[in-house]
Parts: sequence; structure tokens; C-alpha cells
Amino acid sequence: MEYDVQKLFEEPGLIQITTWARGVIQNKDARDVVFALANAASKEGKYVQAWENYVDLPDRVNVPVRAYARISPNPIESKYIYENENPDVVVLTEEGLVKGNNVLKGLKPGGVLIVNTKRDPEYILKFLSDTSNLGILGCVDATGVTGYIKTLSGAEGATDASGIGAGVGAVLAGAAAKAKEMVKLENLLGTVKNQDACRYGYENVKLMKVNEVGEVVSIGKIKQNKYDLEGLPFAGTVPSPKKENEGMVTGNWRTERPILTKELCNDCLICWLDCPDATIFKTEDGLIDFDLKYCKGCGICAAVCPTEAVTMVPELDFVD
Amino acid sequence: MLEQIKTIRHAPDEEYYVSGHRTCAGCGPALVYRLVAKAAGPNTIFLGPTGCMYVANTSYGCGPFAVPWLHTQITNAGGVASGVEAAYKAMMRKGKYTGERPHVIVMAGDGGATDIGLQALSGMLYRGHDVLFICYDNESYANTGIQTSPTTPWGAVTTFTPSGPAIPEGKRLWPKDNAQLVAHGHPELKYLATASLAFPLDLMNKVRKGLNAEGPAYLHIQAPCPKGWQFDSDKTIDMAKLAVDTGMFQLYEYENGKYTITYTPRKRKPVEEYIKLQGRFSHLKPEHIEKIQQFVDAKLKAIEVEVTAVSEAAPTD
Repeated sequence: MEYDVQKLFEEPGLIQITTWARGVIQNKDARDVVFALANAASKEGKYVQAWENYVDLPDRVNVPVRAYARISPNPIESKYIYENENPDVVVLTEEGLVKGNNVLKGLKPGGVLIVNTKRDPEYILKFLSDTSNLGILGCVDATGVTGYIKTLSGAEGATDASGIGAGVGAVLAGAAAKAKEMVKLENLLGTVKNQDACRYGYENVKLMKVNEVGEVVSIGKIKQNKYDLEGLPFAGTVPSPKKENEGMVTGNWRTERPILTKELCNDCLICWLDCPDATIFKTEDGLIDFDLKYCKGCGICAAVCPTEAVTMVPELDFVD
Repeated sequence: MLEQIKTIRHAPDEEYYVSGHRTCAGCGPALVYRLVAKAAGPNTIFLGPTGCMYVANTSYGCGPFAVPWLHTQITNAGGVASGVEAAYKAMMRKGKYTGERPHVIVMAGDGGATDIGLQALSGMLYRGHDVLFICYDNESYANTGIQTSPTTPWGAVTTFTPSGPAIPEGKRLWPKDNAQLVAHGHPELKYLATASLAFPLDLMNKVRKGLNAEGPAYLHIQAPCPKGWQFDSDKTIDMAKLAVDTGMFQLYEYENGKYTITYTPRKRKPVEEYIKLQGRFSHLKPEHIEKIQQFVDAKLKAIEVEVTAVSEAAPTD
């Protein structure tokens, strides 16, 4: 008997939710989005799971990290696949994540993107590369309502004693529930700590229709990985970089970009010496400039500058 | 001999710890690494016991080290470094290697230097290997998600020392002083110093002194950690400066059985100014902070720094 392999893995009704966030400073809120939605769906008798992307751990300040949830009316057969390959809903806890991260990768036709931003959907759309599957883009100013929850509680498998949905995560979960029918608002409100914030997200998210809703396709194609065993380095030896390590480009970590006001710079070079990522270089005119390919936007250069010549500007103010 | 760096303009342009690593934005240990590599120069071999500076730097089959770098277990950096140094000496004696003997530097975290790796460090110092052992101290097991280490301060919250109704202060043990432990039990030790990111040139010059010394040297460098200490990533240098200005961290050298204090703040700030900026101390009550103040006062007295803590806000007349 012949089987259609793709159809074997179809899970009708399965909803995959992926949240992107900045490591350490926002990963609690990323977890809260998926945990709140999964817990609310669980109250409705759905099969659910929620977890963090293991590949992203241990997380580091500003590194893009992901958290996932699955909600289904049926037992989840794909529960041991540890990444959402075809999300229905993607949530960003910070607007800068649209730059340099393929957040819409594998999005199901008609999928939803929710972004924490005070900007309009039209502006956010400019930064998205392939929007052919994007059904709805929703923008909500979650940070304008409440803050990020910064705690070690619940991080990397530790017990979470701080509760779910006290901050930005509650707003974004509310916005996601509005944009995509998956849980009732009352059940979501019953799971989050900050109910006002959650309701705000539900009621105030700006939704923009990008494409007509298409057919829901099955979970990702079965990939056959081929490994070049002969080409692997011997005993874990890797070549030494000369000027930069192109295996770990970190420019997409930035939420803010350092900008130099040349008239104020007195060329003291303190920022040059204090950059942990060696992304400040001396220029021919005797001043300094930033290597944006690797700058993580930590802001040390601005903090140590004695003449306030370096300022940090939101990354999404720049279209490049 | 490596020369002392007089001003920031004399600091070498060359980087041997280059851009492109998965350390936190604002990572203190990463900046320590960069400055150490800059000061040591191209003829260097780094040994990296397990810790943030191993895992975050070498994720996904690549690394930012432009000089040879070798991973060791968290337990045995001192042992592996001894072997590398002894191998070069043997090869040179037998005429199998004719170049200049490379600097051998261990970059261990507080776990690899003061806790799990202490035994191998002590053995290396005892046997007198010509190695510079550096502890970048971020005061917790940060790589695995902030668990307490022997250098985690009293009263700090980690995932192993949470604050709660029974133990409101969080961590209940006073930190281990590894520099003192190293200084007074190892007759072969040639140079020891503590350093801070608040004084990068001083840090680099201490690295060079340690490398110039013919025999084992130990540097203990405080490296603020935005993740574990819970402060904004742009405050790393501020935090290092406040640590020395409050006396929470002291800067000195130890050579030929003699201490030299390398930095004394003109007016010492109360520890509260350091503590109130960090999330790991946010649960502390005034009586807890007073306890830490007394600890610091006693410690400074022991190394004969007689500076009274004066609040900036307090009247000075």
C-alpha cells in the first residue's frame, strides 16, 4: 500500500505559536505569551504544550530567542519536534526583531504576525522580506502599557515563582487572541496576572490585512539531512579567524544603534577600549566609527563617553 | 618583555579576540578577554575551561580567537596549562621548537578558578609553571543560568539562593577570597594582582607584568555580568567603578611578599550606592546592607586602607 508521506503528518486543527524575544531581558515575557495562550486553551479542553527553544539556550542579553506553543483539538502527534516549523501565529516582544531575523519563515498561508511597537503596521511591513503567506499584521504598543518582567524565576527550567503574564507578555497574548481565533478572552484573562494589560492588547491591537487567508497546509516537509562526514573538522578543531568571526554575526541583536555626533567627539578613545565586541574602530579623520555588522547595541560606548558624543537611537528608525 | 602601556593611545590596535561571539550585550567577561588578548599579543595560547567564555564564544563550531585556544574541563585548566607550558620547555630543550616561547594564559571563570578548578590551579602554582592564570570573576555560575558560586556576594539572589520568607537575605555565605588564598599558600608564585574593568589600562599592564614574571602569576579580575547581577547592559563599566569606589572590590598587587594598593578612592562611597543598582540585591533591607558595609569596612582595614565611607549626599562640612 502506498502512503502519501506528507499527509501522514497532517494535524488538522493544530495551531503553532512562535514568540521571538531578546534573551535575558525579555525571555520571561516570551515564555508568558506562549504559556498564557496554552494554559487558556487547556481550560477549553484542548491539547497543549509550551516550551523554549533549546538551541537558543543559554540565552544572552539581546540575543534573539524563541518560545513556542501548540494548541490542538486532538492529541499532538508532533509533540517531540522541538521547533515550530510552520507557525500560525508569530509574536515579537520587541520591534527591532523584524530586522535581520527571518521571523516569517515557514509561516502558514494566512498566518498572523503580532509586533510590540508604537509604529503603524505599514511601517513594520517595510522590514519584512517574504510576506506572501502573511494574512494579518497586528501592532500593539505593549511597552506603553506595562514593562518587561526581568527575573531569573522560571529561566532555563528553574521554578517560576513570579506568575504568568504580569507584563508585556499579557498584552501580546491578548493581541494574538484577537488576531487569531484560538482561545476565548475570558479564559486568557483567567490565566494572566495583569488582566488589564491583557484586555488592552485584545482591544487595542491595530490589525492590518496583508493577504487573503489561504488553505492551511500540513506540518513541514520531511527533510532528509545529509552530512558531509569527510568534510567535518578533526577532533573539534576549527580555523582561527583573522579579523572577525563570521560564524557568529551579531548585528541583528541591536534594539538601539550608536550614533556619533562628530562635533562633540574629542577623540579620547575610551569607547574604543571599552567595547566588549571590538566593534569600534579608529577612522582616518582621527575619530571613531561603529562596525554595525557585529555591534550588539549594549550602549557602553554611550555610557562611558565623557562628552555625550554617542547617543543610542532605536534601530527601527533606520531602514538600512 | 612586554612594555607597560602609558596612555590609551599606546594601547595596541590589534585584536586577538575579534568581533563575533555569542556573549551578552554588555558582557564584562568578554571585555576582560578582549583586553587580556590585546595586552598579551600574538604569541599567546589561551586555555578556556568550561564557563561562559567557553560556551558563549565557541558556539556552533567557530570562535573569535585569532590566537590558539584550547578548551579544558572546568576542573583541570591548571593541569592542562602546566602540560602546555612543560611541553614547550621540553621541545625547546630538545631543539624541536626554536621560536619564542608563547605566553600560556588560562581564562577561567570563578567556577573554574575558585571552586571546581581550584585544585588544578593550586597544583600549577605549587609546581611553579610559567603560566598566567586569570579568573574573570562574574560572581556566579552564569552560563548555566545564574547559580551561586563561592564568590557570589552575601545577600545576592541566584537561582540556588532565592530570597524568601525563611531566608529573606538570599545568599547566606560570605564570599571566598581567592586572591588571598592563592597569595599565601604558594611559594613559587611570582606575581599576583586584582584588576577592574573600570581601569582598562591598569588591567592590561597587570596582564603584562604577570606575563613578564618568570613563573606562575595569578590575576583576579572582577567582571560585571548584566544577566546575573541584573543591570542594564550599558552599565557594565559603571558597575566596575562603583565596586572599587565602595570597596566591594579592592585593587592591589602582591609581589615578593609585599602588597601594593594600586587604587584608593579619595572618598569611599557607601556600599548601598553599588547595591541599589543591581537586581540581585533588590530584596535587601537596610539591616542587610549595613551588614555588607561592616564586612567591607573590616576587609579594607585588614589590608590597611583607612578610608571612611562617605555618602555623596551627606553634608561634608
